[in-house]
Amino acid sequence: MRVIIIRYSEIHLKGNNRDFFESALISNIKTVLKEYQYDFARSNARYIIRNFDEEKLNEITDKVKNVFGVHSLSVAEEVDSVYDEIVAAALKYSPNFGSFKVSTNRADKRFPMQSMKVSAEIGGEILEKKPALTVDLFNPDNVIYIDIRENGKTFVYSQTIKAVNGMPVGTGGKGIVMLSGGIDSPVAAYMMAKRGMSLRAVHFHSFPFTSLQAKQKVLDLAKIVKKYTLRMTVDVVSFTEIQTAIHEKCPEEYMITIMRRFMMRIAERLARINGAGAVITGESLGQVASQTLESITSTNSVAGIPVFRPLIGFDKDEIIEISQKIGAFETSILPYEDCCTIFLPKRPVTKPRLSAVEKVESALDVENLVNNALNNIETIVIE
Amino acid sequence: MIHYFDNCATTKVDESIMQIIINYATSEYFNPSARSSFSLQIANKLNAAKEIIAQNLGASADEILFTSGGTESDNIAILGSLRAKRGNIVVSSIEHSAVFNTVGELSNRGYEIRYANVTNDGHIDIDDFVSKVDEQTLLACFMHVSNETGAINDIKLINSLVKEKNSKSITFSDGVQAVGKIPVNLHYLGVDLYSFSGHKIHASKGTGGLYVKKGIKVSPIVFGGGQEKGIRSGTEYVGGIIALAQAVKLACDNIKQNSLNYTRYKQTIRDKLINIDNWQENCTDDVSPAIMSLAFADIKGEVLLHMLENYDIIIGTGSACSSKNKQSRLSKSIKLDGRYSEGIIRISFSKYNSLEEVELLADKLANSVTELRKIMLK
Repeated sequence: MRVIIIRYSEIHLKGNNRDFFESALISNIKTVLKEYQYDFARSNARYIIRNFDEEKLNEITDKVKNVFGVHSLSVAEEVDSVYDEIVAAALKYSPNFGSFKVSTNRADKRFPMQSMKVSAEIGGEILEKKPALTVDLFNPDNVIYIDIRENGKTFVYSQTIKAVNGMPVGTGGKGIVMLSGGIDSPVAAYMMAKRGMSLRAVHFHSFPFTSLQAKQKVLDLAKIVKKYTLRMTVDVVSFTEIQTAIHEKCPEEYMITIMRRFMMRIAERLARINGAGAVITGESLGQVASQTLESITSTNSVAGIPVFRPLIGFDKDEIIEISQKIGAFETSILPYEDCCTIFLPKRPVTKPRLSAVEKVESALDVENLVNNALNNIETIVIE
Repeated sequence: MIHYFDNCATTKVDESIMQIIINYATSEYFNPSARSSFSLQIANKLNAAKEIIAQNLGASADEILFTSGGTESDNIAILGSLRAKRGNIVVSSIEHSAVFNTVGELSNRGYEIRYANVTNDGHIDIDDFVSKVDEQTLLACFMHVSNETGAINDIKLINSLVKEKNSKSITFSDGVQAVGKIPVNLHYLGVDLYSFSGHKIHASKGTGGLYVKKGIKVSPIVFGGGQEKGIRSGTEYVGGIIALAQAVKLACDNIKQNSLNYTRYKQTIRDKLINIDNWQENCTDDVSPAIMSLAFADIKGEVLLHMLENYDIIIGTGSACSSKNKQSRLSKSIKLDGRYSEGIIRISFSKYNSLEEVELLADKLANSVTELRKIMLK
């Protein structure tokens, strides 16, 4: 019978918490497979999927390999631990040309042959049937694995599909990610989800200064991110009133700094409302004026909870590489303006002093503006 | 109710036109190339449609080719008319993307592309255009009516000057914003190739045509069953084509009355903007009555568009077909002053607009500009 073997990554290190991590991982795997019929079993540091529709095999492996916490997958033949059946399966999984070797693991010591002998014998059987093959024990093109389990069953497989690793989403707390529509923020979300964080997103929208297409783009990105975060809700905050108030009452060069402080305040409040413990941004040190140490200091100072910036030490090229890998890049580069570009000052302050920022900002009724924004949120659950 | 002033982008399909399409989709759905008598009747109706279009555009029926719309017509005209592997193509810098980017593709294939300037109000600079034509010019592309400013080019003059310099070069004019909006007589204008589109004149999207003057050879760019004299294979969109012919006739019959209305609409807008400073009409002379291109200093056209959207008023910014590219060629080509360059909007009328809704548009436009400037300029 054709089965899928799922191996998990570092969660096996987690001593007493192992059950917590494992149940999160299993639940996440079941979430991505909810539209399929299959049997799921736990088996000694791995999971086995049986009785699935073979036509959906590629879909299923594609989905499971993107679940954080999964280390690798193999599509295997599960047979009774009977020599002839193992040989038949090994033949099926062996290549037709190139070099190979057989690697055997015998967990079931009742099996009458030792593992070295199994490898040698079965290797011989394969060579006999497929004379174009050669054996190479040190650097083979293909390895046929034979895993003889204690329960009287044996797995035979040849390919291992690398998965995303990381920690199961849901085991690393909850965070609010600021999703702008650019390249960086979906990558930041991906990075935190990789460490097991559940995420909810906030987006700042400035109609009529930004278009509905710009908002749609963010929702499209949220949908891409959801492939990894498994669940995704976006709070769309109308930011127009705050931006026009800043524009009206504050010096132009402080526009971006103060805007970002408002965003941070709103994100923090949303975190508290939704039981989240951190805010995530896509900032990368020095990338733009608002991402210098001084600018980050003035944004950070309004946050009472941790702010995670997983891209802080990344070059743009490195961020783009991940963006492409997770399938967000093409959407991220669609040319719709985001709210940051509307009142773009000609010379933004690059090294704002916190005391100066606070003084400039005192012209605004901060609490009232934040409350108004929080009262005008459109919450969109990404399906 | 939606107040729709973006009729250069597309138009609402006329109810009577829609009935034609439905009829040919559900009752007379026979393939005109098949052998039954029903099919023969359909083939005859397609010929009659050509006859109608030809009559309204001053051409002969056998000079009309049906296509899927302006973009396809432009592609056939440009890619299908080249008769040499080397040479140059002269094109105005304000052409629609369907022409501009097709010519750009020819540049990749090794042809030399010469871009001619436009004047500050969006007309083709005729002296500059003609000066770029020489013995090696294979094709000259000059649009009839600018989809962005509404400027009407004197294509009869351009055509004759081009032919004077090089009688062998092919002349092509994009007439998508002209047909049904201003009088068009192709034999009088003299161009070799001329494209038009259905959905700009209340017919359906996916319909259009190309005029190919008798004696001009055009090669196909898609191949198949040999429909449309082999130049445009593919089973004809029968209902769409017959509807297109009716739409052309309907639009051409009403050009005079519509133009009078549109001229009045434009004046209404000017009057209502009288107390607004720092705006300009990008083209006022030799301009299509159906198009009004405006530029406002210190604000973005797109923001104005979104503000008017709040009142169910839909306008355009430049060309919808190129709005995915960030910077408009328009503001560069017509050398708009920096303060105005992002503040372009396009108002384009159809027969469905009324004076009342033009007044509403003008009022809301004036208010929005004032409001926005209050925000943007403190």
